[in-house]
Amino acid sequence: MSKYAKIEDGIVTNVILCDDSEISTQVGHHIKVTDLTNNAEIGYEYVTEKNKFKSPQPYPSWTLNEDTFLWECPVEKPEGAEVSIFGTVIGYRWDEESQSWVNI
Amino acid sequence: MAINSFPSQAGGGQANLNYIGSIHMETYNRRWDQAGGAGYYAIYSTNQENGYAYFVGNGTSTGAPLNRLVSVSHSFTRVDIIGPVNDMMSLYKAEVKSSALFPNPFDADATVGKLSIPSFPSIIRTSGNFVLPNNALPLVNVLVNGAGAQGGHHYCGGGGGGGSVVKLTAYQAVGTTSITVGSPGGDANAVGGRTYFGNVYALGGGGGGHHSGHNPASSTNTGNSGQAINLEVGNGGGAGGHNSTSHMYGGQGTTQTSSTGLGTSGTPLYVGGFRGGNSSGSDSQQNGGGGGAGAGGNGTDGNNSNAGNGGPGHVSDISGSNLGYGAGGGGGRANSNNQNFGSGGANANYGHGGRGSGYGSQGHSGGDQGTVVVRYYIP
Repeated sequence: MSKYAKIEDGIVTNVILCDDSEISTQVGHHIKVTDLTNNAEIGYEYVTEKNKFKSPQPYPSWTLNEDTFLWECPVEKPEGAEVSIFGTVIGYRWDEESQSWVNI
Repeated sequence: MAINSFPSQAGGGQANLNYIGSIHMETYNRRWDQAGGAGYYAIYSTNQENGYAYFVGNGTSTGAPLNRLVSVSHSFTRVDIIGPVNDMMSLYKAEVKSSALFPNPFDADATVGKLSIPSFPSIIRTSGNFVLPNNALPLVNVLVNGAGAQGGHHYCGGGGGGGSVVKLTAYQAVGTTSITVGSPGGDANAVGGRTYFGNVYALGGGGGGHHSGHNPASSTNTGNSGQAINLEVGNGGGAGGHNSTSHMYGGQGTTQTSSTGLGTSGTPLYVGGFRGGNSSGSDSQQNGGGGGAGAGGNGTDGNNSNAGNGGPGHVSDISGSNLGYGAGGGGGRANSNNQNFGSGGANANYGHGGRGSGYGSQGHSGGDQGTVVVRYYIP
């Protein structure tokens, strides 16, 4: 069973579980979610030419890596415990106001 | 002369229908000065052609296709007919006998109903088609449960919300019905997938919040951060607590309506729309996350001493066992390098939300996928 994202006007409108052999029974355009596409959640954007999903921008100062299609912060993150924000693994909380990582 | 005074005509009409009279369609639009009282009427085309008729009363008219019995709730003084030229149109009135209700065999909670017709559950956990057996009645009971969402992956994370539940009784299903099973959603700002039975769907639960910068997704979130995304969620995720010295709000669930997923067939019953617990403490390190909301109730708040508990799931025996659908996940709390957690919502069998992280962003869990249960009847 695989995870598929339903795409409408370039936006993920649902995420479903389906056997590959049964995806043709589903109404609408579905894209299989794999490691290569990045994870997909409802509300994410799908970029056809890259075959990748793009999450909403986490913070105004973060920029998109055009290769990975993941958001990157302007300051390199410190080492630490791993947590995930929109698929980006961090160990500290990003403070947009001070443009720095705050140890959690 | 009113129709009610007409006796039944020997040798004419159809079974249970009293023949009144006929007209010839000299043009495609004919006015027939025929009066009648309220009742059930049908106008048949002799050539079985399509057309339309109006039973015109004093200030009230009832329109009806030809060749179909309709209820006319008022008296009328004439009948206007639109149909093919040269056809013959015949008016009939039905003679209605008295009848009474009998116990509904499709009522999921009616013991009498279950005993009267053998029934069988089908529990569906992957997308595809549901095919009603050929020998089954064309009416089924259905439970649709959206997917749950992950608990917050962060110190003192909020619990994930459970998927909402939609129940249909004596829903008319024939042949094949498309099934879409929602995938579990992520944590903060994410939502579990919707689960569909045909066009009817149940929303997924909202992800548990991380911390003050990442609130649970919600359709009406009024939390402190701009990070929350306005998404429709069946039941809201709990608020994350760590790094928050101010009151953080759990996500608010959405109440589905006939125009947002329920439809009108099968007497739809919606169960959900509850709120995730808040994080109400002031200790920036130990402020526990709120519990995720369940389909059966709100999550409880986290505070400086405890993480919040998840809301309960909705219990149904449609599968043949009492199982819970859409319970919320418990929140997490960090405590001097240790961790403790709120309880997950009761009745967590399917579509439940995950637990929020405690210390070190550890201990969180994912939500459960969506489910469809169909109970069909074979006499």
